[in-house]
Amino acid sequence: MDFLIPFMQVWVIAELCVAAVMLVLTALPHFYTTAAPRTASLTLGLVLLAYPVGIFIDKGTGPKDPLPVALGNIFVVYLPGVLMAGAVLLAVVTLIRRPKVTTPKRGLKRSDKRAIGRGLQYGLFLALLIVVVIQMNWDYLSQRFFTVAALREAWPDQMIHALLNTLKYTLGAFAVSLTLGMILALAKLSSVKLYRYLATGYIELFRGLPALLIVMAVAYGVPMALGIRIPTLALKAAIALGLVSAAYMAESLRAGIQAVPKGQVEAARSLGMSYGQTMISVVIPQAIRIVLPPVTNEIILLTKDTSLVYLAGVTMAEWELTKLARESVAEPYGGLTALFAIGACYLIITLPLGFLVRRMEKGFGKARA
Amino acid sequence: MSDVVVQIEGLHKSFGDHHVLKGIDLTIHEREVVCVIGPSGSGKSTLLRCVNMLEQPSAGRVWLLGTEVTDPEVDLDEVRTHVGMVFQQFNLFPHKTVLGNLTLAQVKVLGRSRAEAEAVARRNLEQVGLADRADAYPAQLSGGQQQRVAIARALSMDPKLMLFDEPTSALDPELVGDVLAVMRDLAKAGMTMMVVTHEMAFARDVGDRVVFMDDGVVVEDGPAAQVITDPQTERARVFLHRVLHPTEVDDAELGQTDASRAAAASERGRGGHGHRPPRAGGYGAGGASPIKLTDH
Repeated sequence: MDFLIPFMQVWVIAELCVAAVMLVLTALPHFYTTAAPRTASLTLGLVLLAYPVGIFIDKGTGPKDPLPVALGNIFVVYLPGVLMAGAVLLAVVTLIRRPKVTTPKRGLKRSDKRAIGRGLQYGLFLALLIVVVIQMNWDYLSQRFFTVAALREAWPDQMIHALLNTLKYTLGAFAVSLTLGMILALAKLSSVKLYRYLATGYIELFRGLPALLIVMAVAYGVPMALGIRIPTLALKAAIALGLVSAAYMAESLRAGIQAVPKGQVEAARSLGMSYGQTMISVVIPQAIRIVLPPVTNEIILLTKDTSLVYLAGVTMAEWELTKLARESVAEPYGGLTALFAIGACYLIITLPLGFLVRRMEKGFGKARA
Repeated sequence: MSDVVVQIEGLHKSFGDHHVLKGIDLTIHEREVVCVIGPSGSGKSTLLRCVNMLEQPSAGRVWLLGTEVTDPEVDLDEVRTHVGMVFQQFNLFPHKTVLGNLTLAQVKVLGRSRAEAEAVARRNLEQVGLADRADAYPAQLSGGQQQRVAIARALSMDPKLMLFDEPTSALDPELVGDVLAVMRDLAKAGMTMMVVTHEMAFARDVGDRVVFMDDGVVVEDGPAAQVITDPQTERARVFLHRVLHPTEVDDAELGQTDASRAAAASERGRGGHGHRPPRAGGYGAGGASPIKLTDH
């Protein structure tokens, strides 16, 4: 430990003592009268125990890279200090506010055991986290992953450009996927056997082949075979990824359509509506609500699959996020920092999407039967 | 022939190797209210669904308003615009408001303008006593209200015939009366109606004719009061006794209906249109019914 060396030994001993006291108090049947303080007491005890353990574990791999001093002071000195003060406060307040006459009870009650079980779950989770944080090779990590200087070249122009490219490829592929997926779903539900066979064949084929192969096939195979040229990379990406995604999309949409009760179709048909009118006005609007979650999944998968586009051969202006990350990793210093930043960019796309869909689902609640 | 609304000749229907309808002949005239009663699994609902071809008959012919609907060349959608249908499970469109439910087919099928369709819809909602719920969604309504909306939806197409498939069987007992009252008013106004029901009091007081079905055949067909109060066949007598006086079933009779129950179960298994098992305590005896069945 580099920081506050003489003080640290006092601190570790104090942590051990307070932890022991809290664990003993938790186990006493009479001390705590309600569940919440008992849970808190056990959690605090386990967390305080984790500090000495984390500090004295020696992995035998030579000198550890300690936490950066500023961070170490906060995490290893001040935070346990606050926790110890909290633990003492909890014990003292409990002692003062205890009712004078306590009804005698033998052993721990059911509710006490539940409180201890909960305290164990919180405490062990947090204790493990603390040990891992103390044990990590922070110097190495900060050099490889958090060297802001390494991003200078990519940030912000290239990164925003790549983010927009990723979005463009995703939306194009989603448009193809939704259109083709809907056609396939209706074909699979069709009364015409030929359509059903074709749809099933398509779905089985494209679901079974790696997206990587399809991207290469669309980029190089199809133009050669048919003698056509697919003009832009965005179009290639939309077709290749859309073809694959449509297979999954079709199955989701079919399940959604089939989940609409048969009575809905009967009611519409008995009003004289044709099959087409029934599908468009009654079945599909209800199916959309049902398939919203699986379709969201599909968009998120598509977002990540756009990383395969580089296989089609990209110019720098066409880089999407993952391609940019691969190029940036090859920079002389900064190591994997770019990967980290790019990962965050993907979350910038997918997290709001998930949020939006949850909002939409809530909005539909009113009209749910 | 001009006032014949429904004509059924030699109608058969099988689901796989399960023979549900075994040769039905039935004629319904204009302004007539025909109630179809009988045990679960006797084929009542299947018969009703064959009338507007929601089920394809296996054999036999059906004419609706002078058009043979069993003719493969017929424009079924056109014929169905003249026939309203009300389902046991209401089947309102949950994603549309009450008004949306009533106007959808008017606009799409009859080609009415939105304003005209809404005027018709509001008039029919008034008739079923729900003028103030036009903007509610079906999920916000009680079962009885939903079923009245379903009736109004069918009426908005200005049908010449109304089909009711156990319209009160899925309702809480205290809501049955509202729906029956609407149906009674409709009958009084001269609507031609075919009603599959377990409400014996309604069949007797509102129906002109009652058809008793069992095991896929019409067992008895006669004036409503006579079939309900003085059935001529033994099977009808046993059925009506059990329905009207469920507390008087003798120990010796226990299990006698198991055969028909098994048939009903297998119909449920195949047909896909679920009957709800009849409520314990019986049909017709519902205290909230506006039409009381006097002791006899």
